[in-house]
Amino acid sequence: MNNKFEKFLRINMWISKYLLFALPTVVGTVIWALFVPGGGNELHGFKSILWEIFGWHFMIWFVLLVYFIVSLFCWGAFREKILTVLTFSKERDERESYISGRASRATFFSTLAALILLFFLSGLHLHIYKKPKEEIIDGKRGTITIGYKFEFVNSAQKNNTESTQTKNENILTVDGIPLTQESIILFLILYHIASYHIFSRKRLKE
Amino acid sequence: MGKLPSTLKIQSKIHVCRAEKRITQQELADAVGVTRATIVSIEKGNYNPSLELSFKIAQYFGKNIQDIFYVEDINE
Repeated sequence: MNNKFEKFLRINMWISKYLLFALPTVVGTVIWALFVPGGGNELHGFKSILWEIFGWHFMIWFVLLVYFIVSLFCWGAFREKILTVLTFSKERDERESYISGRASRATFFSTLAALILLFFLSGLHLHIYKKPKEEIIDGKRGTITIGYKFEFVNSAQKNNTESTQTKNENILTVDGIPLTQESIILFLILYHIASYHIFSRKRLKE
Repeated sequence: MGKLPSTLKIQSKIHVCRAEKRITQQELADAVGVTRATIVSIEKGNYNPSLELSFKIAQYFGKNIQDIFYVEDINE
C-alpha cells in the first residue's frame, strides 16, 4: 500500500474513532431535542449557544457517518480493518484463517438460503376466507387463494384487492413479509454475523 | 498406480519432542509464530498444519518432518 492510501486510511480510522466517541454527545443532543419546544427557537443566552454548537456538531457527525458508511462499502482495505473489529473476527495464525474460511463459506450458504426464504415469503400471497351465504355453490363455503407476485417497484394495487374481499369472512391472510425494510435488513446483518460466529465457534471446538 | 485414499489422518509427536526439549506449548507456539490453541489442535490431531508450519516445527526441534508427523489411519 502506498503512502497516499496509508494517509487516507489513517484519516478514516480517526473519523471512525470520532464517530464512536462522539456518539454519546449525539444521543444526548437527540434526547435534548425531544424536550426543547419550538425546535430551539425559544432558547436564549447560554442555552441558545449550546443548542447551536450541539446542532452543528450533530450535522458534522451525521455527514461524517454518511462518508464512513460509503467508504466502508467502496474501500476494501478500510472495510477489512473496521469490520474485523466490529464482527470480532480473529485471524492470528493459519488455523484461525482456515476456520474463518470455513465459517465464511458456511455463512455464505446459510445467508443465501435465508435470502431465498425471504424472497419467497416477500412475494407470497395466501388468503383463506369463508364465502358469504349467497355466494355458496355446491356446499363449498371456504376459499383458498394462493399466489406469488413479483414487482420491481411498489404499487398501490394492494388496497383495491383488499376492498373487494371485505364481504368475506377472513380466516387467514398472508401477503408478503409483515416487517419493515429496515427490520429485514437489520435481521440479515445480525443473522450474517451470528451465523459466522456460530460456525467459527463450532470449528474451533472441533 | 492405485487410487489414493481421500483422507489421511496425520498425527504428530510434538508432545514427545516438547517433553524431550522441556518446553511448553506456549513456548513452541511463540517460536513458530502461531497461537497455543493451534499447537493443542495439532497435538490432538484435530488440525493438519500447512507444509510451511510443519517445516517450521521440524526445524525448531532439529528433525525431519517424517520424524514428527506420520499418517495414522487411512480412510477410503
